[in-house]
Amino acid sequence: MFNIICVKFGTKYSSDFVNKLYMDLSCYKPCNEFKFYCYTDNPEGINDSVNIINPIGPKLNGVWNKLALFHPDFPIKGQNVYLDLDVFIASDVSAWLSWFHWDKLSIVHAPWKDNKKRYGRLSSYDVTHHSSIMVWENNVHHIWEHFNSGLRDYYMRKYAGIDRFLAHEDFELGYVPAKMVMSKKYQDKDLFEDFPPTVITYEELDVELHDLI
Amino acid sequence: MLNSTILYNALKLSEEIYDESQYGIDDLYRIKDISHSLDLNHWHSKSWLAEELCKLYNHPAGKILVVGGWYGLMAYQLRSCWPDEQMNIISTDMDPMCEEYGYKLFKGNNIQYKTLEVNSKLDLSGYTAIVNTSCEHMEPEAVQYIIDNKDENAWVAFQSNDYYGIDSHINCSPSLEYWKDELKLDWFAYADQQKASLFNRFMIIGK
Repeated sequence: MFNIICVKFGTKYSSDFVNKLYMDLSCYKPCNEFKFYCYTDNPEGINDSVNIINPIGPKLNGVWNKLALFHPDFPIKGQNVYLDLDVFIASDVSAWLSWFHWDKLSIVHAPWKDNKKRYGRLSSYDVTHHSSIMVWENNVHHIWEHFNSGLRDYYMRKYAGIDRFLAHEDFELGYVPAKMVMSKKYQDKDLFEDFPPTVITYEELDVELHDLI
Repeated sequence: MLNSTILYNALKLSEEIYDESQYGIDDLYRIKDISHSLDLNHWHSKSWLAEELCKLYNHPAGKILVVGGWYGLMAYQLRSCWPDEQMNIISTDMDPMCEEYGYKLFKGNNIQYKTLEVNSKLDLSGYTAIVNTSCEHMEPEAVQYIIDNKDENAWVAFQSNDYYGIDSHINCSPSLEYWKDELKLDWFAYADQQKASLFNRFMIIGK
């Protein structure tokens, strides 16, 4: 048994995104073989089969709520797979469980961001990863504690989102297997011809629900 | 209104932060943050609060606590209105670096700095006024804690805004009236708003 978690705060995504993610995952894996959770400030409209987790810790906006998943009081233990609401599930996520590095936080490598380099190196605030998928078991509370310090407000001003925070605050990070994930915007389908991706991510794209169908 | 000595101090501080980035901690965003804290709209808004509070408070002595005081511009504006030592002014922020940089930015202005967060452990007794121009950055419970736990006759002077588009703005209010209703103050002495380029800034003074 493992956990799959999504985060829905504010009005950017409706409950339909949560329900669709849950149904898509259920297509490839019986519901009794994983637990699906939604960490949200508004559970209205979410399928009754989805386990709701109410907000904990200080009030945060938007994507910063993803960091609360690493709060020591977050009520889920075990092997966790976080998925953004704007991802397309193409096959069974659990097929990758034995490939993940559970001892640290793993996110998605985004090597195409290297192409944005100027002057021969990435700018200080650029990143070569994204957090559409995050995988961890334990030992990640230090990320929350680092964020939830006297510098919490400063970090939210300094970094345009948690990807940069994770990149530039010197955390030890791993990557999920490259073959698991395809970026809709940056990667060509041909790269995955022999081995279709399990998850297609839509980072940096404005996504409507019908885009994911 | 801008003070050239303070702007000069900010330039020297920027040099110091750059040098530190070469040999120690690389945090060049501090330069932008300090620069932003001295933006003209902050000079205007802090000055607005200091002048209105000074009129209502109408006494030369006391002890003013500024919470969420950033690098100290609010405390500096209060000191401009109360130049005598009889008024004790303490600028505080949860970010420990504000204390270090605040001393350098506003040196010679007789402002004390402390690092603290508004939470249920904060002792507010003994302060004659509590100033908070960062209400939009603080949880509603923290703002209300100040009102509920200050000395009965202590003034509060708060600012907030309706600028929802900033990640760190976790507690904006849609209007002055809404915010006024939300704050459970016994007495409102002043409530007004000013239009900024992208948002409305609200101010409430009372007890």
